[in-house]
Amino acid sequence: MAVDVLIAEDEPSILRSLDFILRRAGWSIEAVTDGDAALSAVRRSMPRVLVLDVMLPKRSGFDVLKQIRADAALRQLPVLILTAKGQAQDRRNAEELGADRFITKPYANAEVVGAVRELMGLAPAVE
Amino acid sequence: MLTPDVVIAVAIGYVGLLFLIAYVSDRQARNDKAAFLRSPFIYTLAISVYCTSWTFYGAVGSAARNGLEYLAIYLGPTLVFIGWWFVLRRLVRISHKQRITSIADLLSARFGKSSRLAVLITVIAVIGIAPYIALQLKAVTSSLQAIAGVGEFPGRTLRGIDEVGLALAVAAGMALFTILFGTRNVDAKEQHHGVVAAIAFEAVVKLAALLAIGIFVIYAGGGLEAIFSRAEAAGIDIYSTGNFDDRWVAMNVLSAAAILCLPRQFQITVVENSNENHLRTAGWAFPAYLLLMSLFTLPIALFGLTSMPAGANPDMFVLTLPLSAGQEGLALFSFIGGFSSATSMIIVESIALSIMVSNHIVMPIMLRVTQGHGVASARGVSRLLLNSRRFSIALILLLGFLYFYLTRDSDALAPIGLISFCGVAQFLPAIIAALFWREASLKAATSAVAVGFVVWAWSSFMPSFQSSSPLVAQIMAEGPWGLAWLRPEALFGVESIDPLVNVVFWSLFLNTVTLVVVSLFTSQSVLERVQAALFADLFRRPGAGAPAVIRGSATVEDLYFVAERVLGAPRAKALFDGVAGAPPPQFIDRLERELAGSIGSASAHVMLSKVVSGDAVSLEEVFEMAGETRQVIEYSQELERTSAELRSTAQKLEEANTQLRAIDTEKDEFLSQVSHEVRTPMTSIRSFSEILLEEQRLTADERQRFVKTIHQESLRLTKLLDDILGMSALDHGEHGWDNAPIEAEHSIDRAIEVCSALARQRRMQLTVGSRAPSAVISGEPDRLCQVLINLVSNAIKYNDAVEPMVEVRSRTGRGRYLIEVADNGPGIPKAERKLIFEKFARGQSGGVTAPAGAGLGLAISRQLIERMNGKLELLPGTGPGACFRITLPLL
Amino acid sequence: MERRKLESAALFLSLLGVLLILPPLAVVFQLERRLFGVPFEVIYLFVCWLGLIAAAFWLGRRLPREAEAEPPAEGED
Repeated sequence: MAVDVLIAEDEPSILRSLDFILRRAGWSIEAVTDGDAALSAVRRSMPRVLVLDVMLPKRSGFDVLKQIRADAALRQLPVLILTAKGQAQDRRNAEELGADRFITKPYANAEVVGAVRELMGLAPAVE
Repeated sequence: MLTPDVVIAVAIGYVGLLFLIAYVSDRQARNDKAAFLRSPFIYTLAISVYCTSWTFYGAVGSAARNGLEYLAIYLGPTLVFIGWWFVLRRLVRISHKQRITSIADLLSARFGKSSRLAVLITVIAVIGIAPYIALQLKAVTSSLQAIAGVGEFPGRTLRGIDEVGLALAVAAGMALFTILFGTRNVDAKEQHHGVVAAIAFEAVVKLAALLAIGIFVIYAGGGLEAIFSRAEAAGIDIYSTGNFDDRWVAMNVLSAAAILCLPRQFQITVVENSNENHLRTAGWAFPAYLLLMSLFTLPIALFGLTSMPAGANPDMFVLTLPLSAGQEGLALFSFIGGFSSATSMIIVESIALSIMVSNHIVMPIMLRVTQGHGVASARGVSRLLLNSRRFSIALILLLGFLYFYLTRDSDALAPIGLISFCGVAQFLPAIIAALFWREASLKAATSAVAVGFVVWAWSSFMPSFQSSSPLVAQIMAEGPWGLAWLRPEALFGVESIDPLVNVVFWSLFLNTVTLVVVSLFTSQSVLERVQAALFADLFRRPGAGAPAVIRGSATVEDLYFVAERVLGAPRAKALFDGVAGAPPPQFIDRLERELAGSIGSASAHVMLSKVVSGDAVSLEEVFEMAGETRQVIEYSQELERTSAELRSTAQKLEEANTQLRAIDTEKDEFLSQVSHEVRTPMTSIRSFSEILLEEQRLTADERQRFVKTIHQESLRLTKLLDDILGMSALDHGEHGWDNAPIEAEHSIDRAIEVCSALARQRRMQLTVGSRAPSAVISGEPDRLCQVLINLVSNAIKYNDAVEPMVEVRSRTGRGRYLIEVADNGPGIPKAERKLIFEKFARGQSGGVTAPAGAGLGLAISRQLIERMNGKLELLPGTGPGACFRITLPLL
Repeated sequence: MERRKLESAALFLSLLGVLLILPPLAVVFQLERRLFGVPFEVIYLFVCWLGLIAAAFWLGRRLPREAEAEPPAEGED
């Protein structure tokens, strides 16, 4: 079955918080904790948006993104990169690899929700 | 009563005394007892041979006629000696190294051992010095006449002998005297200890005599001020003419050149020098001597001019002033002073010239004429040498007398001396170029000296004959063939300046220009280049000897002789097998290549070209050349060593720089890592805080869970900060605990307990291997436990094996306690083995595969263990996995 | 003073000596004045002379000696 948002995040507490706020926003959620799992989950579940951490075990977020952009079936998948490494170089890397949005941890919940909504082609919710 | 007979008797007695001094000194020098003779002051006094009768008599005459001008003759040499470090020291050094025996030898050596240049220099020197010798003859003759009263004091006679006859007698006497004095033996180094001692003695005599006259004049004239004011009152104003004009400059230049170029000065200052350091005394002492010599010149001249009858010869004031005052003893002393200035000059000058004449002219001619017959024995050579010296001395004095005879009508002494100065000054450009300019070539030096000589002979030497030759007088007046611009004293139509300035300028100018221009447009021979390098690099390559000149004819025997010495008998024999008669060019070519392999290509070429062009070779010459080559080789090896050292230093610097850059990069990565570590818990805290603040529809359970997460993450953040601070504290030596005896095994137990939960979570095995029953060490239990937890949890976290496994084991032995943590994970890449313990290091590849938190652990752990006097290391393993070992000393 | 400075001092002393006794500097002291009856320029020349001798004496004792006069094999100059 298709999910709205796939979250790839290895840090349990952050995963819990993302899961909570995105569910609250009304989307169905699937969560994985490493890069390989993320790639197979994307192929299997065909999420509408991928929220992707960079520092993932087994396969880095950037690598996952590269694979997705190289796959004709997945190329259109909107990807939101989340990272605790906020350096300009990381942002450039993400843009070059084809990330749609780039958010630095720690984030404001509304920022993440807004970005996901935007990526789904919905107008930002007016609070 | 002071009669000529008495004076001559005293003079002969004085000469006898000189002989005695020379004889005793020579004997002592031979027995090595004459340390006194080798003192720098004897050397300085000998250099004072510069002060001849020109100084003794002529300076007063010069001052009376031309005012201060006489001082220029002493200021030029003063400046040269003050600057001894730059020119004289070089001259002495190079001459010692190359065993230079004269100024002709020096220039010939520098310009490729050219015998033609040596002959040219010798001829010019002999002609140029003739006026100077004549000056001495004239001075001695005049002084004898003055004593006899011929001219000034009618009534006294000199047995009817006229001036010319007297001069001839003086010349003959001087020649005999010098021959007896200077050619008793021949020394290879051309050093004459006896002569130097006698010359030094004469220097004292002439100075004492002149000072005595000076003091007498001051006393007789009623003091310095009285003499000067009386002269002023009498209208004798010898300063009114422009003293510091172009003539003053020209005379300073001439005298500075003369102190370097006069053969007798070169002989004493350079050839007779036994120790280079004597120059540092002579550098001030000789100028001081000159100052003393000229101190009373002006008062004597002025007193003479005011107190002597008009028309009295001022050149003889030194003698006539005490005579007219009835001071006969003083007059005799004065005569002896003047006599000693003249004799010392003639002795040294004719010895120096005779060395040049016999070495560069007579000997080569004799050898050629006799085809080497009669000089087979060493005795024959030495007799030939002595005879040619004697002949040369006689010739030089004869030339001096001839010049005196032809120019006897000119009266002043100083202008004659200046003619000689200007003549020898033509060597100056070549000497300076020899010492400082590597590119100066033989052709240039030869033509420059020749050009200078021609200009001098035309404009300075020839005019002195105008009174005796109508032809010369006519040329002086109208120029040759009516060419007015070639008139000797107005060269190129320049009439407005002094004739002396004229000749000094044109001769030295054309000389120098020729030297420079011809050097630029000619090339040097191989030997020239070698010699030029030796001269130019005098102070750069210590101990470099001269490459010897090899003489002989090119037979196979000659070549074999050379080859045998250089290559050794077996190789030479093999090389010469089957070669007989005249060696073919190809063979010489091959031989040169063989020799070049042993002694270098330049030396081999020089050596062979000399042998082939034809001269006999002596064993010493071959050895000397080989020795010189060895020095070149040693020198280049030295250079190589130095540059190798430089290379290794540069490499070390490069390494240090790389290390610094790596540390810098590591530091950046570390900070980025720390930032990541801090941001992760911060993210949860912020996110859950926002949820708690903004969500009203939370269950109590959810609320409870979120607050708990925030709390946990805060704790994690605190611990992280503690780690960073702890490491910083360790860095600065704030250890925060004292070591105490502890049971280390307990720490292992606790660490295993903590980590087994983590291992279970990851579904992996944490095995405990063999354990030491007990191990008491000096340390801190919590820190040791912390280190073990760090090692074990790293091993668990990074282990991606199919069946992950970590083993902890311990053992004791040889006073040490070992704990090992081994895993079967990916291991540590070789390149990172050293880096992982570095302070800011984190595995380079860790950014992708390793979870966060590994960056700080190992650096801190190592520091903690070191604090317990142990060490933490990664065992060098080849198999899969990594094994860390803690080694602690047992109590 | 170190070796190079001493050598420079020796060079400058010689150059100074040349300048002192040649025009135009020597002409500056060609005053119409006398000291103890002696014309001023004579006094000037002898004072320069003495000064040069004293300076050469001073330098002669300090310039490097024979043994140390040899610089090590290096690209000097």
